[in-house]
Amino acid sequence: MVKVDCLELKNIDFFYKKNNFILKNLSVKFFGGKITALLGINGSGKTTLFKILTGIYKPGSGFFSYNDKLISSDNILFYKSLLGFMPEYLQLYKNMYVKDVLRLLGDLKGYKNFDLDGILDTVFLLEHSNKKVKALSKGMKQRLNLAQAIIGDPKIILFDEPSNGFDCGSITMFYGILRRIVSKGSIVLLSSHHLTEIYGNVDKVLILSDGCIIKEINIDFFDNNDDFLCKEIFILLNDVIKYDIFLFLKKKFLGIKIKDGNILFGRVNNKIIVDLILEIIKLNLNIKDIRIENKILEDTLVNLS
Amino acid sequence: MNIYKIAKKEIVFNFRNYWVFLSALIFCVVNFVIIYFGETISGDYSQTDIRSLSLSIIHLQMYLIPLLSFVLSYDSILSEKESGVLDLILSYRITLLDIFLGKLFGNSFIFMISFCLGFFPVAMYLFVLGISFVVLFKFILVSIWLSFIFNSFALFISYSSKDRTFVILLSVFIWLFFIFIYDILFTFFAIFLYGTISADTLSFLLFLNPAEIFRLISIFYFIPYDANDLFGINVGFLSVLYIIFSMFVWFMFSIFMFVFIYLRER
Repeated sequence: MVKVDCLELKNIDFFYKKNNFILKNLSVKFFGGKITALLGINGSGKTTLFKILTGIYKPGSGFFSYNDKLISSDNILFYKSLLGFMPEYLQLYKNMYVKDVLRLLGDLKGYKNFDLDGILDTVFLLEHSNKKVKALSKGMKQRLNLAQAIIGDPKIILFDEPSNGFDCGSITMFYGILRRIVSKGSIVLLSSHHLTEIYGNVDKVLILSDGCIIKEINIDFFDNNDDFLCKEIFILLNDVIKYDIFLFLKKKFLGIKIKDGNILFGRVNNKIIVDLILEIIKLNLNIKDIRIENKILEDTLVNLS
Repeated sequence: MNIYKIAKKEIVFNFRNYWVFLSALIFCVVNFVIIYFGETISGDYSQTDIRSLSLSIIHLQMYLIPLLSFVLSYDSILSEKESGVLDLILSYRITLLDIFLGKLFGNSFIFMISFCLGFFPVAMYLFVLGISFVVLFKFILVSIWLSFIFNSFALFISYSSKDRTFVILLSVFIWLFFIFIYDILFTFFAIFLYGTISADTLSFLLFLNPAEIFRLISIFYFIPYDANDLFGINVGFLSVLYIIFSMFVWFMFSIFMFVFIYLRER
């Protein structure tokens, strides 16, 4: 049986001032070959946890281990050699050229001869490699930040709020890279406060609130749970709906409401959305526009937190 | 190895941002301005007063070297803290001590290049006036030592806070303290405690300020007959070994200051 890498945190406490706890008795395991997302509202302790995992902060109590090997100040440098980290905020040397920055960071990381062009190509920055960092857009800078994190194919890779500044294409590219990394058995942990964005892209979700993991959810849970599949739907009709037709729809599709006489809206699951649209067509009502929002996942996160 | 990598990074950055050439220019221009006005005041262009010229050059370096060291290093760590680069580098196989020492050696090297470039024309002029090459060489070495000490102070301040205003104000205060306030306090105590405190103790107090050590050594080199009397205190008995030892103590203090922070943070 192939042994899966494991990063374990046990009874981690962290506080800046006495009794002002950021992390409280936190215990969790992260496994290789899986993308784990750490979700939490602002101030829930995500960044502090990342700083502990990168060895920048030392926990007040508790410990963390990699493959059952306790990480202490004696072997922290070895642990760091396995690590890739993409911080939430990073302004790299703005007067340097993209390729020089990456070469410098690779050198500092301990990789003198790595495939610079290959990494730049992976993050779609190869054609911008001769530009100065200050000439890059926000999204490009974030991709450069991502590039330095993946130098040397790290065994553990941490992304703190990685999608800030990414456009839709970059997000797809980002999760594509993540899938490639986990296929090699690496441990991937990312933090976010957008449940909608990570839905469908990660394997496991941990919800962090007030310094504690309050829920661990496998991604299958979302697919098998109607509450999580609910979406906010808005259907704009060309004409005002007759009251009896609305009563009929309301009776058949619980949760549907009406606004301004011609907008049907409500929180319903995927099946009801399809059935409702089919029913509207059957009733010969003309649909002008349909808008579906996935905000309910966010509300769920806020409620859980 | 990591210290070398960080030092190399600092050297490359400071060459890129033209700091080396700008500060070399400042050294050169300000020294020649002092030389020119010194000669103008004396009114005699044919025969330069070597004693007063030497004192002016020594004092100018005493003000400029700490000041430019602070300018070079005060935001060396602070800017990396602000940009998130420090946290990133600390997530690599690099310790805080590697960063401190790498920056200290890198910035000191940069300062050395800058000082040598800027002071070279001045040294040539002084050589023509009759100051020996050995004296000038030793003076350059002591200047590099002084910049090393003040670079370490600046890096320490740069690490101590995240607040840029605080760091700038503290840097200015430290510079003022070692260059002006210490002198005033020293003179005050020398007068106030005259007769109650031994001359040895008072002369020892001079060694608590690296800028005073620089001044004392430089006077020893340039105008040895003046070195017996500094602040009205007889310092002629201080041997070269004693002075070298105090320089070494300050050098080690600069390094161990960072070792101490590193061990405390660990």
